[in-house]
Order: sequence, then structure tokens, then C-alpha cells
Amino acid sequence: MSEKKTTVSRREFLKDAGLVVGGATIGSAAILSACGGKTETKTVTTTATKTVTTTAGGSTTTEYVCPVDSQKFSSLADLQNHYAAAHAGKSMDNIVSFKVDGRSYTLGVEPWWPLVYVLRDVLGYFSIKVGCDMGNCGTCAILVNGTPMFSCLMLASEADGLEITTAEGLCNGAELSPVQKKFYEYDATQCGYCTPGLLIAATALIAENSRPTADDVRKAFSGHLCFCNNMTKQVACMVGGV
Amino acid sequence: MITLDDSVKLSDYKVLRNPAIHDQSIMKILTGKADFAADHFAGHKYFGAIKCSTIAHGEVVSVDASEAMKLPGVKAVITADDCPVWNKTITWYGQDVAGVVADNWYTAIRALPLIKVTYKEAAASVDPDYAIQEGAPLTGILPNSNIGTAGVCFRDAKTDKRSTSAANNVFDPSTFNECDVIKEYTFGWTTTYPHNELEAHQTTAWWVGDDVYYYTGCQDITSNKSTVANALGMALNKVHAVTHFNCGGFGGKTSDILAPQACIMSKKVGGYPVLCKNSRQMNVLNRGHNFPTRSRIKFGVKKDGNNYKFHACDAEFWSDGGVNSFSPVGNVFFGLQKTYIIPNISLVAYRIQTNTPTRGYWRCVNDPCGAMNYDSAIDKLAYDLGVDPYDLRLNNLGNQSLPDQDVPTMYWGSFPIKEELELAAQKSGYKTKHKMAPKSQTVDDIYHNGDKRWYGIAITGHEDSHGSSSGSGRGGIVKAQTDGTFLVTTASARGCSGGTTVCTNVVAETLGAKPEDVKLGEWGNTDVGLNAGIQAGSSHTISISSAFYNAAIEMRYKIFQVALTKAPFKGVATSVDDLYAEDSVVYLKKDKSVSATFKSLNWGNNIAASGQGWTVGAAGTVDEVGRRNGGAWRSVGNYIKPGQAVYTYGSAAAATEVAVDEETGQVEILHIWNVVDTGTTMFKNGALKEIGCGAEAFHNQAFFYNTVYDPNTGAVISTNYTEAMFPTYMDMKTENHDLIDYESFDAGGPFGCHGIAEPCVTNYSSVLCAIYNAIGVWVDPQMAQMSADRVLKALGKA
Repeated sequence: MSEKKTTVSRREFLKDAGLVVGGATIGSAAILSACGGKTETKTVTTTATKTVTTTAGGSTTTEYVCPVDSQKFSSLADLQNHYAAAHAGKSMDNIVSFKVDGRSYTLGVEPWWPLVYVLRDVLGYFSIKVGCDMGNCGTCAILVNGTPMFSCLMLASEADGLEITTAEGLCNGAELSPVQKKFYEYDATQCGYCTPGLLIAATALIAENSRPTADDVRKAFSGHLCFCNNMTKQVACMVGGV
Repeated sequence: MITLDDSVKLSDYKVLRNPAIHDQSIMKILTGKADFAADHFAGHKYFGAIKCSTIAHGEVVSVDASEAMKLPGVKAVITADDCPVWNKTITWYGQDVAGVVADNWYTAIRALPLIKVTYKEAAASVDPDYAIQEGAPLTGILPNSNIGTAGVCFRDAKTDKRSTSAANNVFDPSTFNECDVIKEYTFGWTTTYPHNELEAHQTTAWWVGDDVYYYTGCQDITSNKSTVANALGMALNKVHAVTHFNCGGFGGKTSDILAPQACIMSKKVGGYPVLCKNSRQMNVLNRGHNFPTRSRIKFGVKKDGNNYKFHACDAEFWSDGGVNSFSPVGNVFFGLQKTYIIPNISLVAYRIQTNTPTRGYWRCVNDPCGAMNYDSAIDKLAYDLGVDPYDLRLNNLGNQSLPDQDVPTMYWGSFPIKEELELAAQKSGYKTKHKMAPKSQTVDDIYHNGDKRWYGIAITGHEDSHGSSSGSGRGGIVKAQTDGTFLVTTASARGCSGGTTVCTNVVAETLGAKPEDVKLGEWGNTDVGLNAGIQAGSSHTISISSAFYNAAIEMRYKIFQVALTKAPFKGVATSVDDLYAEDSVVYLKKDKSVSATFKSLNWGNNIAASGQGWTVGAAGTVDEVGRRNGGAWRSVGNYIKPGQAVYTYGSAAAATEVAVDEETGQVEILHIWNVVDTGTTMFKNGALKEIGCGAEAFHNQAFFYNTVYDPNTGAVISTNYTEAMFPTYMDMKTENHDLIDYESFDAGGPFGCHGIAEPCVTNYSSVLCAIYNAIGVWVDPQMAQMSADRVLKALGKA
């Protein structure tokens, strides 16, 4: 297969945030993005592919994007024709449905794909980080039905029917959650790589124990690592609750 | 103690000691929107993985990628023939030998073992003690030896000769004959750890026409960009690098972070985006580890009343540099040399080359293992002499009222180690708690809590080589917004420690703007920053903030020029010198009632200013706009005048209290007091946070971190965080840390704020010395931690 050159423009490159699109989806959802107040509408189709509808300046543009080679098409029919011709041998037998930060997804996954890979590199939830890929570091922590889990240790095929919350989904609209506010007040971030995982652990802790002691916080954070060694402030900010 | 010149009124500064975070980066981190190198192009990129060598020394004879290419989803394979930064000569186990590009990460790593590499293996030296033996195989790093001289310092008091040249040893060994007591101490290898941040090395690259673009996790974007341009044979303006966020660089991400590899991989697949990354195991196998060090330190002292004075010191330090040919260990004796008056000195540092992975700076600081050695040696000496180690240290400190005399034109802007040691002693109650005889007190004696473990306390401290540093390579841009506010921009990773807060505060202070009126612009994009930059934290706080000082000076000049053309200043003021600004308002100097807000000046959208950092350690001048290019910031007493060459380094002291259980070997840190010279800080919370990070890091080094090598192959065996003994939150009682910033004057940087980073390196030693004070045996960390089993071994129980 000949390779297609990227369509990423220099303008897009210079934007502060990278290009993020949805994943292979079936179903439909309308989403209000959190902590930014930005309205983003996603329309999805009934094939194992993805489309992105962006609303900007009052006009709407819909792109039909091939999930395998990311080629874009102007109509669903064109995309379906392309998919049948270019990826005839490509099928995804494992179809799973789950919610992430309130958005519903149904998508095909390979049986060996860890959940972290699907959430990050298919769906674009980049607040979930990868530090070790083996349950050592906690940077990929998410809430699964309210329980903190390491998404590198879960297969995506296990996520069917689950409700997932990421650090991006902790905000209350455009407002920081109480846990996020405490991290801010205590300046408990350093480089920021471990922070999303710690926010997840802290949120789960506070849900269970509104007045944690330092030992409680340490236990809640025990599966996490901070390479910057900012443990002092991270523990202190959660002692006594939010 | 050097004091401020009377003309300096720190109270005039608005942003000094400001505790407020002023950094939009923090909000991005907290809302999950901080973008690291791999956080781009979901569903819209390929993945690159690296195949590592399985020999420690030899040559790559052939690479057969045919089977790998048959795996569905594999797009390309690259070898040293494609990638100029790779070498067919292998010098360590884990070196890059090939790369795979595939349509997903798991296909890429499944393809790696299908690449068949044939090697011609050569004998290797993977153990540093073996590598320096006669007849040991050459590692292939140096032409004729496995030992390189990394740094020297010689002094001879009689002739007042000094030398930092290996060819000019002016030390007279006969000075030991003049001493009352001579003691010699050896230390085994200190611990090491994988210098691998949570974010593994990774780069996402793609091409648009003949230009290559990439997001990369690099502290030093500009030099990385040059590396890519050189590797690909491209002009610099065709290479576009961005680092927005970067996981805990700490010196581990200043060079190769897979950027050339990612760019080459992307080119191989037609320019489509490729994320080339390391798995955790790959990262540990093929990237940096810190320098373990061993030493021999010989002291000669003369009786001085009830105490002693250092008279001579002859010391050698050996550091295992792996395949590194550079020498961050060249100053492992820095604190010994600078903190104390030792009239006759011979200090030599050697770098041993081994066929093991690269070495990196230890969280910016280049000599923690050496510091552990000499700080501990002083305590050992004191106990052998029968004097309190704290008293021995105070009795031998350098003259705090004089500039350093070691190297011509090397003046000190701050040197408060005496005050720091005294403060640590005062805060910890050292004089009450410390007993010369080990096992003389239990924790129960002190705290009356029924705890029968042995109690110990120690104070160590030294001048650190970390502080202000040369910054002429750094650049900053300030752009005026139409609403009277400003954006600051640089080609620098946002990084850690409030560096961006410091930079925005520098601009606010210099411009006379409200801090909230200065915000971050396109931080981290070399395309919009000056062609220079490095992560704005730690040591480089001054160097990059001096760039922003200069940019702000130019900006102030430009907006005052605008003000001169507008009411109420037009016709009233004739020169920019007639004006000043405060809290985003411009005033006429001679009549403060004549004023205008920045916003009301309506200056349009075309005012931008740029500044270059100045070089400390060189004499400086001021140009017509007011920008500086070097030299001292302000005058200091009779010693330093503005413009004069000046260096400033940090210093720190630590008191550590431990309780040791003789039966189990368990050591508990009861309390730590870290006193760190921070200069006069711009961002108080950032400085305190940095002290805390350093304190934890070096207690972790004392008890936990350890890289384990296979003695036969040189392969790193401890390739994950558990095996590498990374501590968890359960291991640290952080509420027992007292973080104390000691404010001193910094002659080298704007507003007296200097980079502090982790001079808490002395904590490593203070733990060791406190354990000795508790149980009376030294638990020298010979290639392992001061863990419970090693305490028991030292006690003869294991």
C-alpha cells in the first residue's frame, strides 16, 4: 500500500493542543467538553469508522475518517466504499461499549489491546499517561464505575458496559473539582506527568473517606510514583479532605 | 557573610517572595490538557519501536528484517544505514540497532524479535573495578584506556599555587608530615538508579513537504533540533521542534530523546505521523543511569584547641561513566573544595568507561555521590578525632566574608553555609540530642514513647555546584497585547518548579506590570521563540529569567517611546528616562499625578521584544536600551561591583534524625530539616517545593534506588520500577520534613533569585551519618542501599 502524506498543516502544528479526533464508533452522542466550556458536537455513524463534526463560527463541517489509514472522505458512502476496497481483510470481532467522561462509545478492539491504548491512542484521552505499561507507576489510573484502576492492566475487551472517568472528566463544567482545587492550592504538581493518576486516586479516596489522614492518603497513593519526588505536597494537600 | 549594598532595597520589588502560582501550565496539568510528546494524533499515527542490542560490545554484521516486514501492520524497518545517529559498533547491552514502524504499538513490539541481527561479539568490561585492571578489555569508548581524568584541583599553601590542570600538580605530599593526625577513608560504590522519568523517551514526528515537524520530550529543544538537522542533513529552518510539557527532565532529557529516529521513521512511511517511543524496559536498557562513585579520601589535621583544623587532603574519586565520554562527575569534590579551608589539596576525579548504558546528570546536580563520600568522610574523621562532627565542620568553614580565591575572577554572591548549618542545628535541637557515643540514647530517652530503638542524629552540608549558571544561550520574547497585557514565550519546555512563574514575574517586575497582566504565550515552540532555550527550572532559572529581564527591558523602552507620543506625556516628557511604570501604569517621574494605564496607551499589536540571557562569570556591560550581557547584577560590599564577573552557587545543610532497630535492621527517619540557600526568591512556593523534591530524592537514593547489572552481559536486570527499587508513598513520611529556605543574596541573577534544584544531595550523607550516630557502625552503600539487610550486615547479623 502506498503511503499517504499527512494532511497536518503548519497552522495545526502550532496550535497549543494537538489534533484530537474520535475513535471508531457506533452510535451517537453529543458532548459538552469539560473545564473549557467549549462546545463540541460529535456525530457518529453505524460503521466501524469514525466521523468528526466540528462546529465553528456557525458553520458545520463533517469529515468521514477511515480508522485504519485516516483518509478523509466527504460522504459516508465514499468512506464505506474505500473501507471495503482498501481494508477488506480488516475486521474487528470484539465490539465493546463503554462510557468515558459521560460520552458513549461502541467500538471494535483487538483482543490484546490494553484499555489504556484504546483510551489514549484510539479515542484521544491523553490525560491518561503511560509510564510503565505494567502496573508499576499509576500514571494511567482511571475510575471504573468509581473504583480506581490502572488502565494498562485492563484489556479493552474487558471494558464492555463500564463507566470510565479520566482526569479530564473530573471538572464540574468549567470549574475545577474540589480535589483539583486542593492540588492547585498546594502547588502539588511538578512536571505534571503523574498528576492525572494522582487526581484519580485522590478523587476515589475522598469519595470513600472525606477526612483522610496522612496514612490514608499514602495508602491511596501507594500504587503511584512521582519521579519528581513531590510527595510532600501531594500528600499534604489531601490530608483532612477537600 | 556578604551583605547587601546599602543602595539595594529589596522592599522596592513587587514580586519578591510571591507565593502565588502564576502559570497557566498548572491549569493544563490539572485538567488533563497538558500535552506531552505522545499526546497527539489519536487514531492518526503509526508507532515506532526500537530493537536493542543483546551484546555489550562488538559489531552489527547484518540485520535481516524480512520476517518482521511480513507481519501484518508493519510498515517499515530502519537500521543504522537509515539512521545516522546509530552506530554499527556496539558498546553496551541495550544500544539501538533497528527500529520498526507499525500501525499500532503492539504490532511494532511484536515485530522486534522477528528482526534478526547478527553480531561479531568482542570482549567487554561491564564492571568498573574490572575495567580499570591491567589487561581488561577496552570498552571502545576511549582509544587506549578505560580511565579518563575527569577533573582535578590542586593547592599548595606554601607557594600559594593553585591548579585545575592535570598536567600541573602543585600539591606537596610532604605537607602531611606537618599534621598531628592523618586518617584515610575509602567508600565503596554508591547506589545508582535508572535515570528514566515516568514519561519514557518519545517523539512524534511527521513531514509536510520537505519540512519535518515533531513533538518531543526534550529539555533542550534547540540543541535537539540541531541534532535532527545534522542527522538528516537538513537546514535548521526546515526542522520544527516543539516541547510543551516534559516529564521531570532533571538532566535525563537533554540530548537524544528519539527525535532523529522518529523523523527518519516518518520519512520512511511517506511523512505520516510516527510516534517513536521506548517501552519502560527499553528505556531502562538503553538510556541514562546515574554515576555511581567510590573514593579514597586522606585527611591531615592539626590540633586547634579542643578542635582540629584541616591542613592537607589527598583524595581520589572514581565514577562509573558507562559509555559516556562527557564528565558531569568532573567536580565530585566540589563541596569539599569550596566549603572548607583546606590549605593543601590534591583532588582528582576519574571517569571509568564500562560497557553499560549512558549516564545522566542526577536531577541536574552533578556530584551527589561524591558529596555523599566527602560529607560522610568528615563525620568519620570527627568521630575518630573525638570531636562533634558539627563542631569540626564549623571550625573549618571557609571565610564567609571573602570572595572565593580558587580560580581567578570567581567571586561568590552567596555563601551562607555557616548560617545554614547553624539553622539546621537550631531547628533540630542537635546540640541537645547528639551524643558522641553510639547506642547511648534510645528513642525512648528522647521522646518517652516506649520505643527502645537506637536514636541518632547528624548534620551535614556543603556548597553545591548547582546555582546560577551561564545563560547566554537562552532566549525569551515578550509580546505586548492590545489590551495592555503581555505574553512571554520561549523555546523551552514548560517543565517543573514554577520556572514559568519565575519568568513571568521577572517580566512583570521589570516592566512595572501587574503580575496577572503577564501570561504565557507559545511556550515551547521553537518556531516562535528565539533559537535557544532549555527547561526553565532549577539551575537555569537565572539564565532564562535573565533573558526575560532583557526582553522586558527592551519592551519597557518601546512602550515608553509610545507613551512619549501620547497624552498625557506628549510635550511633558522628552525622554524615556522621564518615565517609570508600576502596576501596569506609566507615571511621569517628577509628577506622579501625570499617568496613564498601559491599556489606555493603545499601542496596537506590533510591539515585541526579545532578550538573550547573560553569562555569569564574565564581565558585563549595559547597552543603550538597558539590556545587560553579563556580570554582576548589583554591588556586594566591597567585593563585587555591577558588571563585574560573578558566579553564584547554592548551598544546603540537612539534619536527619533516625531510629534504628538493631534486631530487624529497620531504619526510620524520624525527622528531616533541610535548609537550602535559595537566593532571594521570586516564587516562594516553587522554591519550597523544589527543596522538598530534593530532600525526598536523596533520601530515596540512600534507602531505595538501585540499578542492577548482569555481571556477565552488562544488561540492566532491574528494568522496571519495582525491581529498580523506586519508593512509593508508603515509604515516605513527608509530614516529618521541615523545608526551610534560607534567603541569601545572588549577585548573578535578576532580583536575587537563583536556581536551587537539589543541593539537598547532602541528605544522602546525613542519613548514613545519623545511622552511625545511632548504632556505631558505618553502613557504607557498596552498590546497594542502606536498607535493613545492609544494616544487619554492618552489625554482623546477616
